[in-house]
Amino acid sequence: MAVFIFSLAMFGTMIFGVPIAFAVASAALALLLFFGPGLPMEAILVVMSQRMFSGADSFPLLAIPLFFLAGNIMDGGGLSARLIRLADAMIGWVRGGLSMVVVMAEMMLAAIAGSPSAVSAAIGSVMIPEMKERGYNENYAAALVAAGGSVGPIIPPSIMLVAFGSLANASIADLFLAGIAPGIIIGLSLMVLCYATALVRNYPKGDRPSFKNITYALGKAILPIFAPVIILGGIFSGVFTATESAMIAVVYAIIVSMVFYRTLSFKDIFRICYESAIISSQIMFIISMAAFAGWVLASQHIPQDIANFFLSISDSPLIILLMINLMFLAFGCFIEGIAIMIILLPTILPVVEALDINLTFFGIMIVMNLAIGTITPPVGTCLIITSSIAKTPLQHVIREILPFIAVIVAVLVMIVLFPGIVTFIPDYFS
Amino acid sequence: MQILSYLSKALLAGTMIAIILAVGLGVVFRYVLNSPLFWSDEISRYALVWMTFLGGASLVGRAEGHVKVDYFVDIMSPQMKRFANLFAAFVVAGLLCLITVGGVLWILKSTHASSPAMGVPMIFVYAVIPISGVIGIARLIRYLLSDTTTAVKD
Repeated sequence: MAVFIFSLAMFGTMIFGVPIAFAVASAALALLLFFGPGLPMEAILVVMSQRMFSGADSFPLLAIPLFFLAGNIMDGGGLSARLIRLADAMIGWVRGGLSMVVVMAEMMLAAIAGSPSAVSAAIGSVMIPEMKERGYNENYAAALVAAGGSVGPIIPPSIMLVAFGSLANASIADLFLAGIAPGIIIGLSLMVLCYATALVRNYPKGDRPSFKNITYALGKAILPIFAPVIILGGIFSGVFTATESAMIAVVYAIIVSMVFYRTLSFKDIFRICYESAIISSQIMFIISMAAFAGWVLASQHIPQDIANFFLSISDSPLIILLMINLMFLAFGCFIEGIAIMIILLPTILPVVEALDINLTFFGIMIVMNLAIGTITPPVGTCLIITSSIAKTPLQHVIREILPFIAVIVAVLVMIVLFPGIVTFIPDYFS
Repeated sequence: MQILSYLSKALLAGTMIAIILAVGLGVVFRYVLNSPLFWSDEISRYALVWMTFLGGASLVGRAEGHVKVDYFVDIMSPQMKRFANLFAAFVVAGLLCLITVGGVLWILKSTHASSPAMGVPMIFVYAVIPISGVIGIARLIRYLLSDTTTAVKD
């Protein structure tokens, strides 16, 4: 009953356009008022403030604004244009090369920036007009850029993996290591799909670049390409926490764009600080509201009830994982990824523990679900961004996105059946 | 209004700069000078809280504001759309009022508390909750007065 009231209040308000953070908080408040232990109103309000405060008061979560900032500074310094030129020199000459350049550039950018929507926006604003000009269907272009951007959360560094690690008490370094293999597999599968589509639709190929062109493009991109080595090297060697290496990424980005490329002034840095703060608070405010909701749910013993419910259906890990996947995919169609984790993870983690499932593998699986959520209608953040760049209605893009979703879901099924694909890299390093 | 908007922008950028400085100095002192700073962790976390709440407030009533589900509102009839907009504004306003009151009550309860590392009175840190609540309500009122069908462009 309590679960029903909570879901009804949350989805009911959301449908009428109440922002997700507020919908989650109002559902939690309704639950506490009608089913709570009868706390006085004053106590409820104080608890709400306290829980919201402590939801944001976290050192690991500091990686979120810092990764946003590093990505934005790098992008202000002309980063995405350099990565696109490099990807173009490497693969642009194949049939449908331009579409594969998109995927490759997005994967490289994802290894520097932490958020899928930032990656889609940065690459999309350059590549979608370019693809339209060279005869690609605009809906296909928008779908492709969104799908490639959705790989971002799986490739380290990733804001979603930071959030999972801090919520589930899992090692963020292990999660980052574990994301490498599935990220590359998805990227390659998307490129195969691009090639097949290009053959069927007879999309153009570019000129074969000279060796000189390749080295020139590599030289232009070498400083940004080096950034992931610095960011991830510090985390993987175990010297730095994710937050500290995000800090080093910021310093590196400032040095590259102000000293080497001289594309940014101090005034630009100040503006980028403000913009990154706003984007970060978009996620952080949801996190802090959802932290309150998570506390309310826990105080009603709802996580245990749900765990018992899952375990009463089946004790086969595979069936439980399948149900969890379906649940996260369904929620992912409507709610922002990190909010889903904050609401659902406390209810799911007891099940994961009971079944003795590897937490690193589980984190990658969850984040893959949420990554798919960024390209599924009606609320696919990446889709919305790219369709507005392509100036084409969202409904038309949806038809083109389906094959891409199918490919990513196929990879998801593969890693659920063979978790070794995810865990072999972190196991090797530990 | 112009000054307030500039002030909140400067404050938000300020929280980001505070995070950079606090975490950055923390890294330098821990790994380079080998004498960890006792306050860098605390300042950076509190700056993040300030960023969260101030940012959350300044996202109210703007076109590219809080993340929400547009799909269902977009397919509603014009009257229904108007109702949905008012309803959403009502829920947001109600919650902002409750957050403001809750923040004030919490501050009144913790007048003697101070932060563990720096010994700063916690009321200065908690103050961001009611401040953001009031900023959010003010922005919402401005949005409702300007037009209920189009969001305020900042």
